[in-house]
Parts: sequence; structure tokens; C-alpha cells
Amino acid sequence: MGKKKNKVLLIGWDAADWKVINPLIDAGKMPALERLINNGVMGDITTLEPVLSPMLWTSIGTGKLADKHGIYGFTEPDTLTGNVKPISVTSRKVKAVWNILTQNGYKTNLVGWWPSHPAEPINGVCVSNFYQRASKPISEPWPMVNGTVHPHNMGEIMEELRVHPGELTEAHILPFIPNAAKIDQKKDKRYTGFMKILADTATIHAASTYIMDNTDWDFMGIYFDGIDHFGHGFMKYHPPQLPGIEDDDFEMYKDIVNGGYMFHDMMLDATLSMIDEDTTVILVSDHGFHSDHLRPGALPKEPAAPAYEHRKYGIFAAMGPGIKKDELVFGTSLLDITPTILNIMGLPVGDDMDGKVQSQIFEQAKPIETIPSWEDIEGFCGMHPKDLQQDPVEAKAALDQLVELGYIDKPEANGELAQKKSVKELQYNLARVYLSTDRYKDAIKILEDLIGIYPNETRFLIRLSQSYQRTRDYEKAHELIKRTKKSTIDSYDKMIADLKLKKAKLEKVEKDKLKKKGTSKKGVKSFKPNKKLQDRIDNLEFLEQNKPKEFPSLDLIEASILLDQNKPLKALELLEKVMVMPNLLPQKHVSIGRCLLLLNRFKDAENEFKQVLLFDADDVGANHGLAVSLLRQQKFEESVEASLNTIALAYSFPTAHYHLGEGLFKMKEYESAVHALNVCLQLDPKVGEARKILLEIFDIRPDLAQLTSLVTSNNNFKIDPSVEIEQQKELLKQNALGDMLVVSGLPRSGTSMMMQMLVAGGIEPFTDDKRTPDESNPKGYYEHEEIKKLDRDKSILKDVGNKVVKIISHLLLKLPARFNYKVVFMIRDIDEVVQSQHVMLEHNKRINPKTYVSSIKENFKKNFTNIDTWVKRNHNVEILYVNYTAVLNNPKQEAEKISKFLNKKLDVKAMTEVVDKTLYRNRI
Amino acid sequence: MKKKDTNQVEYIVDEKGSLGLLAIGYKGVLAWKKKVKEVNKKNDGKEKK
Repeated sequence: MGKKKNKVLLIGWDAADWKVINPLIDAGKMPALERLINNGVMGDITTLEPVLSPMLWTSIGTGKLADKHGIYGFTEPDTLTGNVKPISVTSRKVKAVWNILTQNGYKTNLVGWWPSHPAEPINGVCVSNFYQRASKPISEPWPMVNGTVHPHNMGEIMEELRVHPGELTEAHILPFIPNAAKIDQKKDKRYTGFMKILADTATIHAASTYIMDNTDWDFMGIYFDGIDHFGHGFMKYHPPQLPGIEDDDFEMYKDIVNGGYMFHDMMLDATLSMIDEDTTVILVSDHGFHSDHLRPGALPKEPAAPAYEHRKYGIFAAMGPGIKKDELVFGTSLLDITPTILNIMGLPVGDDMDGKVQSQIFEQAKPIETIPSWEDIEGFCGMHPKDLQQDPVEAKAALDQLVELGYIDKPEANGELAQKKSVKELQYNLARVYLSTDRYKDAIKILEDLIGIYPNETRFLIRLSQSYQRTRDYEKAHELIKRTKKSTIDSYDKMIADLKLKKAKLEKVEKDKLKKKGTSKKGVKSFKPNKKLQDRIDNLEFLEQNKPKEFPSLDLIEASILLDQNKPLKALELLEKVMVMPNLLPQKHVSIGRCLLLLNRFKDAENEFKQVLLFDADDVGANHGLAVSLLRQQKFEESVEASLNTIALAYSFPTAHYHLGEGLFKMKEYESAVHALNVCLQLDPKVGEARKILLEIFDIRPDLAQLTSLVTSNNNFKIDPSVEIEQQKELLKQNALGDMLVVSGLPRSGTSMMMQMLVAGGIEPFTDDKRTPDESNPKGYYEHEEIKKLDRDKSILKDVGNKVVKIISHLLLKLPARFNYKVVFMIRDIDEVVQSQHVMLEHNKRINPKTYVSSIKENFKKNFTNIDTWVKRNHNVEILYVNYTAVLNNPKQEAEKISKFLNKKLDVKAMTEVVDKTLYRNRI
Repeated sequence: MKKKDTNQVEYIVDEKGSLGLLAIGYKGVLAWKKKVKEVNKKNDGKEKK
């Protein structure tokens, strides 16, 4: 029998989102995906900035950020035509995973990846992203463009497998649009758009299934853009109905998004039926898609505006040999896919890759081998020669598709201008890559150049202001916000002035026409505005009255700068008067919450962040803010939970790990705290506070120092410490929150008497009755044997519930921080205590009294000091000191005091009656 | 009883709806296209009669 092969099937669903998928799975409508996640792992995948698909899919395929791989946008200048062309694979500067696999002799297939045209000569079949577009009506031939398929001899069958939108019948369409017959199919562009998406998707699926079935392969990559395109076209009609969406449109198109997902599931079912048990399946999307109340209303008027509909979190699922079953994984990035595939295939990961091996998915992680860079390994890898040129005519159809989707404006007829615009976008996108990866100086350089050319472009001014803010150049940041406001007003004024001129011109033309009526038209200048201009001229008065006076989104940025300057009052003042659109509400309230944190108004901050989370549970800022506000209120366990939620959403967020570590430290979960603080320092070695807490922990637990040195010596971003999130979550599950009522004190200080009082008052004791009454305590001890083992085993505490438990003072310090404690602590003259213990021990003949008394008093005094410190340090502890003699002398008064402290209506009379003065024997 | 040949056009077309044919991939697409051709041919023949 031959050696088992590690095969990988990578399926890309552009824009797929668990928020849409989960309800469908629950309803049994995506059974194939349900099977995949039940037999494998699933989790969110965090996208990259800017959220532009060609850039993202290339990061998925290379494990590298865009500045390394070179794909920054949708179009690029074309030197052949002097105009622009869709971004092509020839612009990719580095090897993709299919090139690395080709180089290592693996059989590798790729279908539809964006961008992958012209098809690369890999060691297998490559079908480019130009393949599926039907460029001509069904009545005309629609040959595939050159370079669509590698190898050439696969071209014929691939051509035959294409589905043209015109071939689709009502039976294909009705499951998505049940009332399609009522649509004016010639006029409604949405209908024809839908047909194109369905045909394109079916085409990719036909090609990929053919290749899977008819070639021997080790790696198969398939990319579907259908879910993204259904989203951009029809998410606005997805239930619940959005304000502003007509009832008829909603009824007509409301099923398309869900239908699109279900169709993808049907295709997935077919694809999964074609693999064997040696194959690892990875299903991934590049980002999510807002499908709920967070759907943006209107999109800004800027290139690539549809990207505003994208959500930060996409989907990740994997199944196969050695992969965990039915588990959630956290902290996956688009950049992790290629390193993980290389690890599965037994190949080293490039040190120059920005992602890590997602080792959480494996039952037993393989060792991670690395090499400095795959780019340095010479030999054929199936990439194009650097000077390969693309036929510009053939690129036009793909360009038209991008225009239809709204990703780019129709390119200028003037090639020079079109190229200038394309370069402008590429530069801007690159600046955003730098800004999102904390390389602010690089971002500033590009943005300052862009503003030099386009001084009034708002988005450039805003990004530059943010870059200055991050480099703490606050003055410049504020100045740019002011400049943006002024520029917006100036542009508006200019637009009004232009419209007035045009209106005057129009009126003059009309007047001249009237004057010359009936006579020769010679000499009358014609001026016919287009519909858009005419509408604006007609609405000139309205436009003049609605000149922008408020700039809410700019005010939010300004508040954020003020916050960074530690000016919370000024920021709060600004924020409280800002009226924002619903999509900016989370940003506004997170900023208000941050102000309140700085003003030490922690409870108010907690409420503010909780409000945001009701609106958007995945808001990273709100989850983190909540964690901090809870931490400062000593609500450690809740804080840790919020920190874990933050980290699950944004793993590479050092401050979140720090606050997790701080919370765990306060809970005395030292080992977990050390792990969290280590991750924080790996992500950002400058967080000095993390080191400070680590040092405090090592004072308490010197054994943990070794663990830290092991981890920090490997100061490598690629290690995968996020496994700890699982452990920590498990820990939290065990440690449910609860209140605990404790009676404590030194032995013989009256603790048993206090137990009797509380029991008489109406509280049930937590006792196993193993210690029976004796001469020293004739009314009983009210103890539990397991409680005495608290220093070794704390599990008994979860059984205490609402009962009152007796814990001697020495063991108080062993209590875990997972409960809120109310402690009634008995105080008795220390000499009396010693005397009473002495007598008791003599009774029991357990000690030589002569050796006993000498050191015990010092020990007790030290214990009191420790308890005092414990109470002060742990704000989950409330303590009431009750004087033993005072109880004997005035039991009613003390019983009332206790009742008040416990905030319970106790039977004070009964409590008073059980106090037996006769037991006060060992007085000094 | 003779076992059904699941690669037969008739089998595929009968077992799946039109959308189902697209979803099963290349076999469905080819079977569907073949069936459409057959139907068109039949209709052409009828028109000629």
C-alpha cells in the first residue's frame, strides 16, 4: 500500500458570513456545511484592511500582506493601451501556495481565484477568473479569452462546461425569485444581474467538479464570488425589511441571499462527495457581509464604496485527517491559510510570511518547520515570466463586470486620466495597508503626496489625520480635521455657485429661444443638461438651504484625538452634542465610554459599553471597554469574560491580553495570567505594566517564572498561544459567579456561636456534621471536613450555595477570587483565644501545653495582618468584625448589626436567644 | 433488476431539479445541455412536419 497523501481542498466563498449561515443551519437548510463543521472545526476569520477582495484573496493565497504581494486594488495601468486593465496575476510579486506546491512536485489545480488571469502554468490545471463571464448575448458566440485555461488542451471541455445566463430557465430562477414572472425582465437590471451571478457560480462549480473528477491532484483551490455578488445586489432586500425599501421590492427579492447560500451548500455537498478520507477541506471567506441592522443605508460616493457593506469577520471551517471534531477555533486570520496548508502538506513556512500556522485545528499539531523565504528557492514554480503582457481587448469584459458591481467607476475615455485615477486608488489602498499595520510613517508619506495632488479629497485628509494621531502629532491631526470641514464647505459652495451659473445659462438659453421664436434659430446657443444635472438645478433652493453645518463623523475623529491627548472632558462635551447616523452610533458610544473610563466613572462606562454591545455584540472597542470598566470595579470574572470575547474577535490586540492577564491575576489564576501577559508582551513588548504584574506573580509563584522565560525567549508572532483561550474559557465555566457567606475567626474566637446565631436567624449551615458536639463546644461546631482541605482542593466551595460556611481565619487567604464573599469575622481578645485553645487541646490530649503558648500569639497577630491586607486587596470581599464579648453582653444589638450587614431579614430574636453566656468560660 | 447507471442523462435529469443539476456540477451541466439539445431537436422535427 502506498504512503497516504496529504491532500488539501481549499474552497473560497467570497463574503460568506456566519450571521447568515447559522440560522440556515439551524433550520436544516445547509446540511453539507453542517456536516463539515460537525466533523471538523469552525470559527471566525479576521479580515485585513482595506477590505478589497482581490487584495484579500491574494493574502489568503500567499500568507502575506498586500505591500509584499503587490495586489492593491481592482485596476492597474496598462502600458499597452495607455488606459487601465483589471488587476492581473502578473502584478503579484510573490509565490502563492499553488506555486510553492508546484515547485515541490505536487499536482495543483486552481479555479476562478481572484486575480488569477492569465492562468498560471502550474503543475496541474488553472482556470482563471476571466473564465465564467459571459461577454456576449446567448445568440452570439462567446469564446473564452486567451490565457483563461492552463493547460491549453483543457480549453475545449472548459468552454463546453460554461453556463450562460441566457440558458437559465424559470426552473432555475423560481427557487430564488418565486414571483419572477411579474418582473419586467427587460428593464429590471436586478433580474439580469441575478441571472449572471447564478450562471457564473454554476460555471465555476462545473469546471471545478470536472477537474476534481478527471485529474490526479494534491491541492485544489476553488473560488466562488456568488455570495458576495448576491450580497451587493440583494442584501438590502434581505429580511428584516430595511426602512426605505419598497414593499414590492422586498417581497420580490427577499429570498435571494438565503437562496444563494443554500445553492452554495448544494454545490458543497457535491464537492465533498468527490473527496477521499486523505483530504483536508478548508472553507474560508475573505470577510463577512452586514446582514442585519448594521447594513449601511447609503454608500459614500467614493471608489470601492460597496466595501462598506463588508463585515470584519468572515468564516473559517476545516475538516479532515488529524483535525479536531466539532470544535470552535479562535484568532484565525486570512494570513494563516497558506502557512496552515504548507504545514498540512509537510512543507516549511516562510519566515517572511505574515501569517501563522493555525495549529488550534489539529488534534496533534505537527512541528512547524520554517525557511527564511520561499522567494529565495530557485526553480520552476508555475509563475508567469515578469514581462508577460495581457491582451487589453480581452480584459475589457472583466473591467465591465467591476463597473457593474460598483467596485470601480466607468474608466475615463481619456487613458491618461484613467491611469492617474487608478494609480491614485492603488496608492491610497497601500497607505491603508500601512495604516492598519501600524506603519504610520509609510502611510503618512503616501498620504501627504496624495494630498499634494488632491488637496480636497476628504478620505485622504481623514486618513492622514488618523496617521498623525497615531504618531501623537495631535496638532497636525486636529488641523487636518479643521481643514477637512472647511474643504467640505468650500466644495459645497463651489457646487452651488456652479449650479447657479448653469441655471442662469439655461434660463438665458430659454429666454433667447423665446425671443427668436418663429424666427431663425441661428445665434441661439444650445445647452441641454443631463438628467442628473437637471435634477440638481431643479433642487437648487433645497441644496442651498441644506448646506452642511454639522460634521458628525469628523467630530467623532476629533473626539478620538482628544481622548488620546487625555482630554476626556473636552471629548465628552463634543461627543454629547454630536448627532450621528445609526451606523456611527457604536463609534460614538464607545468613545463616550472611553471618556468615562478616563474620568474614573467606571459604572457609567460599563453601561455605555453594554449599550453598544446590545447594538453590535461584535464591536471590539465595546467588548474591550467593558472588560476595563469591570476590571476597575473589581468585577474580575466578568472582566475576564469580556477580555476573552475581545480576544476572540481581535486576537492581535495586546492591550486586551494585558487586561485579561490583569483580571486573571486579581483572581489569583496565576498560571493563566502569566500566559495572557506573555501573549501581550509577544504582541507588543513595550507594555511595561504587563511586566510589572508578571514580576508580582513571580514573587508569589516563583515556579511560573521559568514558564515565562521559555515563552518570551521565543519572541515570535507565529507561535499560537490562542489555545489558551479555550483553557481559560473552560476555567471560567468551572468558576461560575456566586456570593458566599462565611463565618471566620481564630479557633475558639466564637465562630461556632456565630454559626448558631445565623442558623437561628434563618440561614442553613453548610456542614457535614462529622464533628460532633463536645465539652468545648456543647452546641456543636457547624463544620465541614472538606473545607479544612481548602489549601489543596477548592472544589467543595461550589456546593456551598446560599448556606453559611465556617472557615477558620488561616484558610480565608486560600479562598479563590471567583466568588463574592461576605465574611462575619469574630474578634476575641487574643489572650483569651490562646487560653481557650490551650484548654481545649489539653482536653483532647493532643499537645504538650508547655510548648504551645510560646509562639502562637505571634502567629495569630501575623494572621490578622494578612487578613487585613487580603480584605484591602480583594474588593470582592466585604467583612464585618464582630466582637465576641459584645455579642455576649448585647446580643440583640450585634444580631441587628449582622442582619444589616448581610442585607437579609434575619430572626434577630431567635439569634439573641441562642447566645449562652455560660459558655464564656476562658476569660482573662 | 438492472442496476441504474447513475451517469445516464435520463437518470441525472429525472432525479434532480434543474437547479439540482447545476449543483451537482459538470455531470449535471452536461446532462442538462444534452437534454436541452434533444428537446430542441425534437421540437425542430415537429415544426418541420
